[in-house]
Amino acid sequence: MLAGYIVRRLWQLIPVMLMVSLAVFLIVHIIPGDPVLTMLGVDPEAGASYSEEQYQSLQHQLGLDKPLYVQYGRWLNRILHGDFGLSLRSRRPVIDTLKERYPATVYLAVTALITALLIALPLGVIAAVRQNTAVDYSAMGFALWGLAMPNFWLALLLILLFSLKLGWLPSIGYASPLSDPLQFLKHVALPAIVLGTDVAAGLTRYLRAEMLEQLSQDYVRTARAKGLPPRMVNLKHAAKNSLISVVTVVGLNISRLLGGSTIIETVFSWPGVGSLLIEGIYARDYPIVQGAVLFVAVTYVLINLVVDILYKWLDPRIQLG
Amino acid sequence: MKRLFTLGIAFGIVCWLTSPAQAASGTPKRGGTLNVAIEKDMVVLNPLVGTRSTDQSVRELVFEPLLAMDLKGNIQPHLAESWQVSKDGKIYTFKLRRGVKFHNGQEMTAEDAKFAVDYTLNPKNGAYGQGLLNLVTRAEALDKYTFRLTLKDSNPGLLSFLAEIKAFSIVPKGSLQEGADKPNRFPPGTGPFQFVEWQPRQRIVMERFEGYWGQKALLDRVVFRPVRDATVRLTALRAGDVDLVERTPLEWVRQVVDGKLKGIVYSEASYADIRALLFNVADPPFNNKKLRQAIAMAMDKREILHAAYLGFGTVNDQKYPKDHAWYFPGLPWPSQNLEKARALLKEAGYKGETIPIITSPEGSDQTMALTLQAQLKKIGMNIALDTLEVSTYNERDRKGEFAFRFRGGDFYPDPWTTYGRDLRCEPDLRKRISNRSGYCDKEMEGLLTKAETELDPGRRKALFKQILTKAADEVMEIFLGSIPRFFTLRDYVKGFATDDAGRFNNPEGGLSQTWLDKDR
Repeated sequence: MLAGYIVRRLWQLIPVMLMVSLAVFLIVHIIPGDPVLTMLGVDPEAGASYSEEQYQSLQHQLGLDKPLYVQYGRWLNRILHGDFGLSLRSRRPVIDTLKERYPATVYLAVTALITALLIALPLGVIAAVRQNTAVDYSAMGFALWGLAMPNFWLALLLILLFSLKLGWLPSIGYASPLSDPLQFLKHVALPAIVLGTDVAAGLTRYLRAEMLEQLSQDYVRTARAKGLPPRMVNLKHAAKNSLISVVTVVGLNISRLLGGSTIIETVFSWPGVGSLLIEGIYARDYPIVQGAVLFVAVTYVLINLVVDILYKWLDPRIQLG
Repeated sequence: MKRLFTLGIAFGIVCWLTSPAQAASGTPKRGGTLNVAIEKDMVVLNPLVGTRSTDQSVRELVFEPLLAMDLKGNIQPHLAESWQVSKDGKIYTFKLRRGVKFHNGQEMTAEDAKFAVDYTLNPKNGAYGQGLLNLVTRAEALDKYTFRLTLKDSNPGLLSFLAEIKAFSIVPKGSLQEGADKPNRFPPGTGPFQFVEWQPRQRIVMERFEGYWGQKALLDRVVFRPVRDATVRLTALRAGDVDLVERTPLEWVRQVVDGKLKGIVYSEASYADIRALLFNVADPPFNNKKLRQAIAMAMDKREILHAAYLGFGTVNDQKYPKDHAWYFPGLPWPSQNLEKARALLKEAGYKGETIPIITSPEGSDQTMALTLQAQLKKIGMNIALDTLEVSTYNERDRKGEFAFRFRGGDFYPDPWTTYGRDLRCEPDLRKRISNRSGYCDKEMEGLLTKAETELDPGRRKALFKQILTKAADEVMEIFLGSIPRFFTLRDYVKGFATDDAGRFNNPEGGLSQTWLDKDR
């Protein structure tokens, strides 16, 4: 039954992808801007030295002189053959660029998420169990601070402290966890803490509220009455039941993190997909933007699928389908 | 005597302040890796296609032009050992240096030079140098080491174009694919460093080329690391994650210049960027010359530069700085006069309507525009900022859909490239290429055509004086002055100095002469 469900959901991916790609295609083409000018090296800071002949030749070679529906059809046809095309600006295959950038985003997202869970799970549960105590107040204080603190500001402060004053961690750079795990940890620490705090803040509040709700339920009172140790009641019963809504929030956050966090990637010079997308949009590098958005959209849909399956696992009463 | 002494001390301090990076001590040492933080990443792995200044700076280490230019502006041999120009100035014959090796070990020949020029001239490739070589009709390899360019018309600026890789750099024959829809990788070059790898957004790695024909580089490796955020760039320098930083934000430069940051020195490119106010003279409202003159009379250039560039920058009324051979003193620009400006506004029929100025969100564009807004308020003129994202800005600019805007730019060794392209009539005002003001005047066109091909230096100088005098009267753009650009570096980085244009590699002491005074 589960397998059938997954297959059905994957089929639904196709119309979603078509709609997403069409929407993105229209949006990037409708906003003013001219990729040929970027390719020819025109920028407002300096002059230009191209000829009209060059301009037209490039426009023609890239098919940008064709009507929009022809351009979209061509692009779709190529995608169906597994060809994402060439970046207009760098003239490198889009798929190569995505292969370079996407892993960095995934590694950062996963590390940030682990950081967030390590902070939020214990904090949320303890805050609820010890409601209205100093522990609760500090946990909620942290959550408020985490939500209120602008990401980039915390990032700069951490760089000043850990890179400049203490000299413990590098301020910029990236290493792949596959080739050099230790260097990766050093580089990922600060951005993961910044993003992790952000996610953890919201999650802590959410988990605490949900736990309080569960703790006031009849089954908790029954469990307590039949003499189960408080630890068992809190963790096995109340906490597990709180997880359903937590999974939803975490799922949404993973999708957000996997879309690339442009600001943090910029501050830490992290070579992720968020900064790629922004650079692509600024340069009107259509193939890059379309390719990256398609990637992000597929991830988004897949994560949602995983979340739905997790529901079922957490609460067998839920019917999939 | 005492005064002379004080002057001497002041001079000494000035010298010490302005050239700290050149105060190299000890003998140059070979070896080590230099980490350089750059603002933007490289974009395209094709040395003949230009996108932005970062690509240019990185390529200058790997690829070389045919000729070179010393600091006085004299053309010097480089990959070409000698050259001859025919009497009519239309045929240039170059003798190439023998034994120059590409990074793959292959010897450079005239066929390779021909390939690079042909590639540049083919409009399909969108090469950057096409505009500079527009008078070249043919490139030939006469023998293995003799290379000839044939021109449609004489072109006194040609040799100076060939002294920069902007026109073209020599790459092995057949090493680049033709067409804008084909991917390319960096081909082997002939420069002091060879390209090793590019990890987009992470690093660009160069290694010393041991087979270099000239003076070999001292550093083993140069690693460029793109760091977008200016504050992080300087923090990385202070933390020791990088050794050299380009485009240091001016608010930090002050601290470095004042010696407040220990162990950090700087190198200044004094005239790296030109700033000007450009009018769209083809459409209302600024097709009205009196309106433009009124602004010229109301504008306080010093105040604008001061506000936007924190007191850095030199006010000027033309592109070349005062000590340059192509500087003309006493151009007849309208002088500052608010009374007269108000009168001109009235004559122009201005009724207080708001005129939009398009600005780019990057750099100091908005600060300049806001300062100008306050200044024009004093003569009763209302302007409003219309801030556009870069790509939209470029498109509106090309189509002439703007009233006025601030512009950047730089000057070239040859005045025709510097001014001519901005003043020539555009065939299509809705597809402006280099003359963005849309200015078009028969008399000016005649002067420019003469100046482009005039071989006699004296007559050429007189022609440009006429051109600039006319431009000052027409006010299609108002030059504000030049802005410096600063490199900041750790004090153990020796032998590095940038030139006026802010290049990484230059005859004054760029990265090929840089060495590290520390044990690693």
